[in-house]
Amino acid sequence: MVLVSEGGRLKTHEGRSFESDETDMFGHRKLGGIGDKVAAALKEYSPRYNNGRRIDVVSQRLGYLVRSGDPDALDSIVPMAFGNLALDLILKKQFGRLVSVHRGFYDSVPITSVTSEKKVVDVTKYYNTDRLRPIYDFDGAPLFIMTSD
Amino acid sequence: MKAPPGTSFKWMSGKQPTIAILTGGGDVPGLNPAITAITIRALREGYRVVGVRRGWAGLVDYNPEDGADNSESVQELSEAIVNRVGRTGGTFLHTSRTRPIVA
Repeated sequence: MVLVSEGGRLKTHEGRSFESDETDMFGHRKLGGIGDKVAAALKEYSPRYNNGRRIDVVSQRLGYLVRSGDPDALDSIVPMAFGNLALDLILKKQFGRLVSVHRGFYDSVPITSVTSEKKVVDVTKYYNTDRLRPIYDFDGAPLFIMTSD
Repeated sequence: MKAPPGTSFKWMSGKQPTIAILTGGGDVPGLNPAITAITIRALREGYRVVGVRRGWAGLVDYNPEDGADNSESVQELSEAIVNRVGRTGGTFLHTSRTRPIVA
């Protein structure tokens, strides 16, 4: 099984893969189609490694299957706390804040912390780019690593 | 459970404070549970809770005229409504890529 992330680039192709030229109101084009390209490439090169026979490749676009999938236990517990934390802020008349998990604890931060700049994943901090794998260094790290800067 | 067409929607009803919930950006599995949690708690604290449909598009398309059909933009939320969606992913209020500053 091969998982391909939207926004990934093939070394043999220019730039990223998009669904179409259409842009939304933010000027963003919808990413998509990289999985089909990787699937096609796997199929094309497979005879070299499979006694001259092509392998069958099935490409499945996950997209909203994952994003709107049924919530698991954590997906239920954390938002339940977030909803109640948000209402606590309203009751205390503290507006303009965002409920969050900070270093493993529930907290809130000014909403400007997400609106002031574009949040991107710190690739060098979280990924071994030579091996194309995450850095599996969990000792002493919070549960929600990506959201705990 | 949308409001019947032609039903006049009011943001404020008497002196009861109102909380509006809007979901924007991408779907996530925990979004409906979050809506469910805050709605139930807010109703029990005495608030009226309103859901804005289709993200910012619901507010941009909202028609403030008397008697206007805003069933595609806003809906009253009750415990019965949110309890039905609390175990499902995504957002039952829907979302959109509408950018209010441009729209």
